[in-house]
Amino acid sequence: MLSTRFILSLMNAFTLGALLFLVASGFTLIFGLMRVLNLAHGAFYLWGGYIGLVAIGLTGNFWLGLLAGGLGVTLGGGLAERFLFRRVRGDTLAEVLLTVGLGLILADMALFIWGGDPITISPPEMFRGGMTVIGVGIPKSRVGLVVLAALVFVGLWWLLNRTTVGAMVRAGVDDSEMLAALGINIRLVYSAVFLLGAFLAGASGVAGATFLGLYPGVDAEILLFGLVVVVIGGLGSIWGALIGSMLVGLSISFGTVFIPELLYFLIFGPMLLVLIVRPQGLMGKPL
Amino acid sequence: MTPLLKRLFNGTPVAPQVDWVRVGATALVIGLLVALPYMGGSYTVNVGAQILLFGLWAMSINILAGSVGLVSLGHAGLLGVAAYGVAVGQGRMGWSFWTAALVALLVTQLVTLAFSVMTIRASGVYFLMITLAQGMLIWGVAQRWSSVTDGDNGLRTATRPPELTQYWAYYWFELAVVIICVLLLRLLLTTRVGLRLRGTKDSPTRMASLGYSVARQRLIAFNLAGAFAGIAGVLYAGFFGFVSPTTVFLRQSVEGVLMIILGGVGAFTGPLIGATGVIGARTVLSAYTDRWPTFMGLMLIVVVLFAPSGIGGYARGVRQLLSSRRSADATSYLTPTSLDNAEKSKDREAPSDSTILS
Repeated sequence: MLSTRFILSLMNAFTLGALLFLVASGFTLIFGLMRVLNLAHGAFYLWGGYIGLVAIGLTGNFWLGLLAGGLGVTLGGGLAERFLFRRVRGDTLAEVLLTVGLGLILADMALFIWGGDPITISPPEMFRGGMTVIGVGIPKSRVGLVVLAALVFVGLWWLLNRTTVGAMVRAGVDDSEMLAALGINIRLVYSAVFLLGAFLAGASGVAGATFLGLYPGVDAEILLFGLVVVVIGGLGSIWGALIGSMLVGLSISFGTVFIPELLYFLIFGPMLLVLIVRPQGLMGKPL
Repeated sequence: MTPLLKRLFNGTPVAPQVDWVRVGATALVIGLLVALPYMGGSYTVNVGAQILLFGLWAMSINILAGSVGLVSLGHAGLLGVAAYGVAVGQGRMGWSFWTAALVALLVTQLVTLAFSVMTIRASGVYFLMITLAQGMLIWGVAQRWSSVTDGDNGLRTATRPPELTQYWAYYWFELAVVIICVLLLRLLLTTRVGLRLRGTKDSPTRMASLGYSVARQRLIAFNLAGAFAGIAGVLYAGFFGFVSPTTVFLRQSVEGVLMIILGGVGAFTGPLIGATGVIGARTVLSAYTDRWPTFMGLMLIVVVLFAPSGIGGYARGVRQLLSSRRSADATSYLTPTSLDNAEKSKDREAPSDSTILS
């Protein structure tokens, strides 16, 4: 019979995996299409959470907070993309360093504005309280997070595989020069994907705040885990983001419980292995 | 003697004449640095000591970036391994500073070897990612392996050797170590080993077609960088006496990258200038505000957008702009030709599409 500890760790793994998928899906699309390693993605998550917190404080509604977090980061990210990143488009090192600088500023400003104490957001009413799954009691909000991630996955899959825009994005991931040569406004596609990724990051900041909480440093942790997910899963692949998030979620969840001192080896081990053996990731196209 | 001077100051043993201006300038700077404890108080000397050790560390980052064109976002990890090595060696094993330092350097070199092997296939953005992960792996270990590293509390057990406890004594010790390292590195870069490294940055495909293994050059550069980072880490442990996971956090690695970009990637003394700039800014600003990370981010953005070749490059650009009306002189044949540019654009592996690295 499976122990309670095992089942709880499994539930935690799914919840964490769900959250990581929300974050990593945007990250992998931006990286896959624009070849931009958005190292400010963690800071987007952080700010999304804090903006959502403010919005919930003002309106009392979780879903409005979620929307506000996503849109706020989308706005900020869009401005950054237009006035900062676009100036060095094509120069990958410069782009990455700009995102690093932006991330630093955002993280520090968040510390300045909201202070260093960890904050959690209460889940919406429909997801409060507990429920029993396979004989184990878990908070409804955890299940809610998994449901949310599943919905986002379906939505993204449909967007990428059943719409013209999605076809453009997939083509851009494969060969952006060719896409531009075919007459498609590649800048518009880039911007659209970046905005989508920023929205996902911001919204997941609010969702994650119910589970992980908001505190200085969560941006670096989320960024790191997102990076691992994308490397394992593959650039520009939604399926890859899903598989990667679940793997990382399982590693973190079981690792924290059973071998906490070696946790980071457990997380980074697979990532480094993938980078050596199959650098394009499990579901990525060959580089 | 003359070939040595030429290697050190002209950058090549086949230069027509020793660059005495450079020799003089270097002697002057070294003289000033030696005299610093007589000119300034303990505060100034301590800032100088920080600049020295971080300058050496920045030079090690620049071995990778300037020589083979690989920018590492995890170099604080190597600094930290050495620093932790000294702290653990002295604290938990009871060794002397020198023994702990030796062991720490060895451990750092082993870690560097392992890390370098992991990055064989990577360049550009992938190298950034792997080194970021490597640096944060060290951070994770430092934070979680509490039985050895005391986790977030950090270790206060690194102490200077008894002869060097005074601030000016340790400063001179650091100065001596850094000068030796800088001279060694300079010499190394003028040898065939160094030239091969440079060739790998300028054009990996050309190097490969000449029969040199690009992966091997990168491995050599990485391990060289790790060696000097280890020395800097030992100096760090002795100077601060305290190591914590913050030492190896991503922000520290970013600070290092800022240093080399500010000074100009590829410029030999660039990292030292960059370190002076960054640490100077940090020291001054931290006296007035807690928002140093914001300023660091702003500095990074400004430098990347407006001075990607660093302060030196910016000054050079201004000078070129001002003198553009003068007619072409005999050295104009040394400027990149359209052929070089065409070859660069076809070379997919070459990092020279970045304004920062060229």
